[in-house]
Amino acid sequence: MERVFHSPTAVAGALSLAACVIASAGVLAASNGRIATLDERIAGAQKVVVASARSVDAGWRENTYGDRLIVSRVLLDVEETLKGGASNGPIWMELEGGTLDGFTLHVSDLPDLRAGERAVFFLDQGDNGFSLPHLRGQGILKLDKDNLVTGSSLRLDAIRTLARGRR
Amino acid sequence: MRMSTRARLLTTALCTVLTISALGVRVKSYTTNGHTWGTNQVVYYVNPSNLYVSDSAAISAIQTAAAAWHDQSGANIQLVYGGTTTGNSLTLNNKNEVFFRNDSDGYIGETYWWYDGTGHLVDADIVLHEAYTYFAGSGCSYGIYIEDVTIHEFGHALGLGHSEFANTTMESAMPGYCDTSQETLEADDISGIRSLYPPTASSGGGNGGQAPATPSGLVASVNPSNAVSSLLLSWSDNANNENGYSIERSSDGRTFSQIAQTGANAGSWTDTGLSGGAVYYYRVRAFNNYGNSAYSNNASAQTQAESAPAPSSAPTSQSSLTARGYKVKGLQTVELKWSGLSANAVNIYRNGTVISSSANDDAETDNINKKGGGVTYTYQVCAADGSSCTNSASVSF
Repeated sequence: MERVFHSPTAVAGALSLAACVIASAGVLAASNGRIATLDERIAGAQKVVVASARSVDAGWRENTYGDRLIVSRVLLDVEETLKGGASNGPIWMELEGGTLDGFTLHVSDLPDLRAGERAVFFLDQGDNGFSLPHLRGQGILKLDKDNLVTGSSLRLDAIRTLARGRR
Repeated sequence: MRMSTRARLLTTALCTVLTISALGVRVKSYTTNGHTWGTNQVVYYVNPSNLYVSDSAAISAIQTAAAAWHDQSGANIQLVYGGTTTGNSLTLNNKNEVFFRNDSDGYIGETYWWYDGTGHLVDADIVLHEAYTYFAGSGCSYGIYIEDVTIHEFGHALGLGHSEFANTTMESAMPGYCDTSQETLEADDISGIRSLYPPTASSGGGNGGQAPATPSGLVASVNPSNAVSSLLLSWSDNANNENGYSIERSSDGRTFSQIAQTGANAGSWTDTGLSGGAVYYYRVRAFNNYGNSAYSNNASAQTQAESAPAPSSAPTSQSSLTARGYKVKGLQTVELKWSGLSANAVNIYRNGTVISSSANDDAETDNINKKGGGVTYTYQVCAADGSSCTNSASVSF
């Protein structure tokens, strides 16, 4: 990950990124999905947390469309709740994809998530009691050790600011 | 307030530029998932039933998208149409299926791929969500061309991840409704698929085609408009059949990694987002569907240290600088001559760092006191009052 200094330029850049993410609502129709703005994700998700994956366990599951998929159940250790109640207790989340019985399933719009990885999770409550990432892969923004969203210059602080602004 | 689609598209384009320039975001090239098919012919089936176009139009559009990966790249992989299917589920059944689903997933298309313990792909299914309106061939209005989205999904099915290069087929974001640009593979897409399935003579990689000629005269120099964090590269484009140039960078002159690709006929590139006061090494090579050229010479330059005074002005049209390198008893020596600067004193920069301040007497000799070769020095002379600078001039030993 390229190191980005917390300079005035970077701050201005982060703010312009946030502004752009807000302003371009719903435009980028990704070939694998419509890219929602951060604001939309915060507004749409029932819960937003900063958390680390304590464990990832895969199982088979068949959904209502008849898809028989490997689904990973991820136990999240919450370190900070940005939206959706003050409880910082662990959360179970389900994510399509994983490795089981000698096969690995990967879904184009979903990230791999391994134990120990840390991210901002935008979560909805699923029907089976597990949380689901809001807007699928767009509901998981992995963080590096410098609190930057992986592959971007977006800082956790910028997400915090947006989330608090909506409280 | 609800923005018009056009306004939002413009906003998006502007914001993309703003984000990249303001944050110094470094674009990365193609990514792979680390898995390939254990064969060079992958059969797929189409369930053409959908809400928007005829079955035959859907099949034709999907076939067009599938063929592109081989036809446009020469990669040793072919997606072979196996006929229609009634399958409409995402299941590990060793049958690669493309189908439409009438749901409100929010996504246009998704690919589910499976690999086994050997690392080989064994199944890949593509679902196109009918919350979007689909078109095939022509006549699109506020919808999606099946060809445009399916070529991207087939890229996943073959083992490619998302690219962060703008306008590539494997870029995660589609430019907008009725886009057709993704139907044409960009150089980055071609490099990606060819890395997974290298071309052979039988795949079209050797049918009289030739790899492009090697670029030469690579020079790296300080970017006068951003000396602390940017370097300029230039080279001679010696090829007439290249798809583009790949640019590689190293911090030690030994281990290089690709940082960018250009289009055809490029002869320069600007590297940004660099650290101040650091030396960077570069090499470039041309590529086309038939292979890569040899590498150019290596070139290096040093960004200006953040604490050093920066050349504060662009070259004036009246000033000029020439640099001539020679050796005195084996030691590198550079003779500088300039004109056109009106200040009483000047600062002389070597690779972005001030090496001397002197009277503006239009000449200076830089005794580098080093032996050997394989190094390039880039000079610029600026008025001490910051009013103007000469052009940059480079010397290689």
